[in-house]
Amino acid sequence: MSERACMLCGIVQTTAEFTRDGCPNCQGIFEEAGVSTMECTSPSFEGLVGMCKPSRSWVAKWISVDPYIPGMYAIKVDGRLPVEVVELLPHYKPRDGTQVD
Amino acid sequence: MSDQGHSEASKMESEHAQSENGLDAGLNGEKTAQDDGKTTENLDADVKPKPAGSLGDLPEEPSNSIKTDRDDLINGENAGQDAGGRAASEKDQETHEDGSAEKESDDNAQGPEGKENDGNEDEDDEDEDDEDEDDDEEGPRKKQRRERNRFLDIEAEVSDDDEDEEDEEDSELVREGFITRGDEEDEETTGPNRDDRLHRQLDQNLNKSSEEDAQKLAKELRERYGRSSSKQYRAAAQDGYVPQRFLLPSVDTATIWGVRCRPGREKELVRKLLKKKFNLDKSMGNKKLKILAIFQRDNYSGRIYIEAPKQSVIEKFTNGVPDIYPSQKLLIPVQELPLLLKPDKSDDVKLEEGSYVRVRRGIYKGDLAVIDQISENNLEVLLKIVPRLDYGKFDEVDEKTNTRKQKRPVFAQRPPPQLFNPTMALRMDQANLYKRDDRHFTYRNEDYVDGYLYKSFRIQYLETKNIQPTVEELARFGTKDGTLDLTSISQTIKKAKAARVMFQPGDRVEILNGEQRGSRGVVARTSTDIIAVRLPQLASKALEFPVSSLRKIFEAGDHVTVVGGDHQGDAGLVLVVKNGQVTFVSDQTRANLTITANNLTKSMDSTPTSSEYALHDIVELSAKNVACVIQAGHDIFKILDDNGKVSTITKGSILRKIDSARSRSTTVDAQGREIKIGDTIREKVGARREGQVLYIQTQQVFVVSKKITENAGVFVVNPMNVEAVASKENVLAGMNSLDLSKMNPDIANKMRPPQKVDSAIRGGRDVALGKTVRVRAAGYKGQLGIVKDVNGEKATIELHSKSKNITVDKRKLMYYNKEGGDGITYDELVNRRGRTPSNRIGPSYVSTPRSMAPPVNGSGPSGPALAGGMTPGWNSFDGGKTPAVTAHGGGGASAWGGASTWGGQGGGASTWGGNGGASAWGGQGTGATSTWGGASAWGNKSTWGGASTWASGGESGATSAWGGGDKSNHGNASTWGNRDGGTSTWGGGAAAGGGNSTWGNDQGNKSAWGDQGNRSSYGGGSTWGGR
Repeated sequence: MSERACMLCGIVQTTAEFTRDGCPNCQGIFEEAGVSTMECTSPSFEGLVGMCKPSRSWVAKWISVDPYIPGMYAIKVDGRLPVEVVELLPHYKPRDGTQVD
Repeated sequence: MSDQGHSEASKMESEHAQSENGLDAGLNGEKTAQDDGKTTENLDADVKPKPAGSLGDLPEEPSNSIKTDRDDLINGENAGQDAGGRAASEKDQETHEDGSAEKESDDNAQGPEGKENDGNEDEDDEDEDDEDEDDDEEGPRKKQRRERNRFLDIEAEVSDDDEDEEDEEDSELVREGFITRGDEEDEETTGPNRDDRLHRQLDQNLNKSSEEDAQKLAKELRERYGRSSSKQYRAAAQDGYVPQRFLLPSVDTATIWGVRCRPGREKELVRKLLKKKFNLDKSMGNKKLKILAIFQRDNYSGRIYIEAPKQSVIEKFTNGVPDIYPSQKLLIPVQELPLLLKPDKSDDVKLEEGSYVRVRRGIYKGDLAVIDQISENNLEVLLKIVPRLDYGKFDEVDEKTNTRKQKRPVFAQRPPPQLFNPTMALRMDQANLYKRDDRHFTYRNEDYVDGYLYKSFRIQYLETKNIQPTVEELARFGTKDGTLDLTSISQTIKKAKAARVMFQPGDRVEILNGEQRGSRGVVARTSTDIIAVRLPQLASKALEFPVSSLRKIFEAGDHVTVVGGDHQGDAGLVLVVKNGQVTFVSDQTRANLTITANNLTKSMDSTPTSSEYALHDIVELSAKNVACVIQAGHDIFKILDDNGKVSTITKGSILRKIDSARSRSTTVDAQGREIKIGDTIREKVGARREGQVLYIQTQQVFVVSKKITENAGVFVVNPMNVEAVASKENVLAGMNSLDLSKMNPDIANKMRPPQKVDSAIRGGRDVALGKTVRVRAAGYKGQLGIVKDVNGEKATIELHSKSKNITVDKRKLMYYNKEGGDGITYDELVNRRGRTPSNRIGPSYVSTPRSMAPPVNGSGPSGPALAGGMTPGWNSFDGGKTPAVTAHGGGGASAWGGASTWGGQGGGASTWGGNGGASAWGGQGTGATSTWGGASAWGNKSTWGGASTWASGGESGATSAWGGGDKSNHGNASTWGNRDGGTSTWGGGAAAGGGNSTWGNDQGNKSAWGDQGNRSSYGGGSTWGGR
């Protein structure tokens, strides 16, 4: 069972889930950008977070998953989103640890 | 609505506004205007207008109100904090735009709604943030919008930005808030227009467990919600973007506990616990455990982290989950949290074009590669690799169709790395080759440029950390003219190298950069990467430097050892030091080597040796050849083989080391004494070198002597040319306890043959040692045991029957082979060089146990007994060993002796005499004859058939001959007589002369005798004669 993480929201799902249902948080954006879900997910990630209550959790805010559904997220996701997606999101902050505040 | 919710702050504000601007009337009007703005907005959202106070009076535009709303949002923070002076100043500007008033009214509007929201939530942890207020405000409006969503086209929704944030709400809130309304809505709107059936169905639905229904709906909603979230995300990313520094945790907002768990199970635990949380949420309804998040980091093994406001919840939550130890938990300090959740792993190496990596899989596993390009998404890289191609050499070609079946290369049989050779490809496998341009080829669907393979790999199949290319590998990546990109190499290698440099206290170092650049000092303390150096100019205190800024100093004449790199283990004498490069002469190869100073360390003069083989080790070179290491280097060894030849070999040609301590091989020296490993031996001939046995090879013994320098004191000899000086075990005991009287040749001569004494003096290992014996002496007679020690004549025996050691005369033992078989006496054991007889009894005399029976001799007069008794005697003659004879020091039994011959000789030849029964011989004329003749043993032997001679000599007189000695009988026994004619022995007998010849004949017949004849002992019959 291979797992992937969404490079946009960081949610961790099996590859099958991504291919079947897309990303539960960001599928709309991917569709708008016209890219496939697989392009926007990465098999290489680290730091598993079981997010139970994103709206209340400080961890969720810190890793900016507070707007999303509860579930499994990754702290670090390797890889870069396709340009099409990034263009749509001026404030996009990559999750691969390259951007440091 | 407008008046009720006035908060203290807003009152004050309004008062300020009033007093300062004197706009009394304006306030109310504006307030209502604001309310109206709200209402219009509501109107927008909801079909049903709410009863608003004075709708008609309002001159304000809805759009305006929205705008101010947003302004308010933006300013909210400030307004809340310093409502005093700041607000006042703002008002100066804003009065025209009614800013302050709007603000108030907005606050008012929030008041009741916020409360309502609180009521809905079961939470106790109300945050006082602005954000939370926003959340609160959203409550009812959201509900309304949801309803609308159900019936309006979602895509048609014009998203208002500030509301998008609201959408991101707690799912449970969504569920609760929405579900009830939704159900009602269904009933109300659809009811009148549908038929009964639908009504009933609805009722049925309602009768279903409301919880289940709610969940289903929530799920449905969430799905749709998720799909439509693109705008939300964008909104969040645009307007809701909050710099991370504003999110820094405080004690109130973030309580995260680190909980110990079994290392390696962290991820599994996170999954498990999340699942558990979801399950609990389902089953527990409103009473949910306040667990907010569970997470894990790879860098911190053995720990998972749980975000939960209360400590007690964690115990409740993790109860019953294996591998987690909730009793060991601690609150993570707030300031450490950002670090804990930083997205980058500290040991990660950032991939860049041009950096070196190693492939982890496939036929290029372990090969070095250069990153040529990194894919857009950072997940794949194009690598430049030296290809491993066989150009289809091993392809299977189908003869019929003439098609090739490409054989997939496997790691085990991969070809060596070599640059792509277009000519080879053209010749061997033209079909798969395409030429792009002069430098660029495509072969078997892979691209080759300048001979290198360019291939795409996923980053997870690459090793990126701590890559240390060897020079050989780098050379393959050299450009065509053979030059290397030295800078890039040094960049890559430098760090890795620096990390491995070892400094030891006392090393002399030079500082390479920084303030103290160029100064020299001595290492005082070391740690992994910081070295404290004591500088002469700053004697008081040691300064600390990073490893990378230090270089070791060596001088010509130093003896150094290489501690890192290809030449690790080599050592030598420093010749030149230049630019941090040290040139030294290797002790092993005598070649000059140049090594970076930091890879060296000062050493003592001895060459560091291989850990596997050391000096004087016995090593196996092939199945048959062993050798002794006489000089051990790191890779090169000088050995002395079993032919005594010295040669130099490499480590690779040594098969294995032989553990000589476990070797049980033994041999015997020239005297037949046993030699074991560790015994001291001396050469019998030549230089008479003496030394300890290192190892015993079938034909050769490796001996080491401390007195010899040549070949490290090792020499090889044939065991037949050595004599055992002392055995390892009893060298001391044996020598010290010797009865000195035995060494006196005079005494010894009288008592026993000289050889005996000799052996005693030389004191080799006694043959009896370790033998299985049966006691023949009184007390323990018949018991079996093992000889543990021999001390002079006494043997210490460990009995099999009971754990006891007894000391017995070693001659009063029968010696057995371990497997049983027949026993032999000590003397015979000596004869046989310590070998006990095997089970099989040979035809020889020797093996006849009966033959050894001196006591038997004495026991009876019967002929056969005698005969039996005699054989051994002969035999021992045979061996030339006197003891057999001497041992039977019986007493001058004249019987034989009567045979003046014997008797006379023996005088003491008590042996024979002992046969006092000799009377048997003598006395029994015929009887005796018959004896002999009858002695089937003898009789059988043709020799003694001659014995019949005796018998026939039948002249019992002949018997008497023996007996009488003076009888010519002997002569008759021409047999005898002839042979030894000269044997003075017999001669000793009165009629000797002829009789002697008798003997001779016999021997002629009998090879046995013949042998004896040869023996000096016999001829030396002088012995006899002497007597």
